[in-house]
Amino acid sequence: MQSPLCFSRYGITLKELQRDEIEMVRQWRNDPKIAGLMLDQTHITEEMQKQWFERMSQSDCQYYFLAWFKDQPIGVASLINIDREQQTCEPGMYIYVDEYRNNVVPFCVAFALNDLAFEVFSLQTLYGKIFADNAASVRFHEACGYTKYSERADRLGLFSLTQPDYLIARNKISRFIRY
Amino acid sequence: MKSLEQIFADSLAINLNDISDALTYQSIPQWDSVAHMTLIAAVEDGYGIMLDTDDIIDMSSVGKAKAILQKYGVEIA
Repeated sequence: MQSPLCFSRYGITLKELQRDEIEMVRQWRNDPKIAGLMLDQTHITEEMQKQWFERMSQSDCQYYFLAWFKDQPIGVASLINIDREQQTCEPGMYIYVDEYRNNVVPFCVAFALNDLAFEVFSLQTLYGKIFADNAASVRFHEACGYTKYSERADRLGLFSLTQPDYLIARNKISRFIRY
Repeated sequence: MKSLEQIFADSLAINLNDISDALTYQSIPQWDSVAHMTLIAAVEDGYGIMLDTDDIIDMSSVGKAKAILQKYGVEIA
């Protein structure tokens, strides 16, 4: 059996999600403070979560991680729709623990995830989808170097990030991450 | 030199009159991750200090910022 993927940077450790963690993650995901940020706001049942985990475990184009900070799981990070031919994927993340939601920690998680995507998975372009009215998420993605290349009729903004743009954006903020 | 309250007002893009020690992060939408990092950069530049990352995380209210800055020898008027 392959050992779970584990990647540490910026004080964050991303550990591949394990079966005994999916109920905690389900409860986080269903919490209105997290569900309200999701494109899909469906309530997740225990059975749905188990089925999702089984599908995810069989796939080599999506990875879900628990984000650990100071020996505490604080959120979830993911790389989905990994296309190894096109060298693209869609990263996603949320921070559940309130004290880490609106400061430098979300950047630590995002940078660890992006480094993993660019350096370990050798991807070239990352994509994001954000509704235009989610101003905080738009600002966060732009601070990470994303640029909007299109917007759908339902006001879903389509963003992309290349490694050179990411490195420029990361360097402006990572100077404050002094671990 | 700008006052700490002015640094907060400029960084969070809110009115100076809305700044009080009780103002906490997440209590207003303007104080998000990006604004927090703008604030940290302005505090470090304004006072010529370099904050520990744990203090950057801990700076969760105006009152808390004052307490943290005292550790770095900054006198807040």
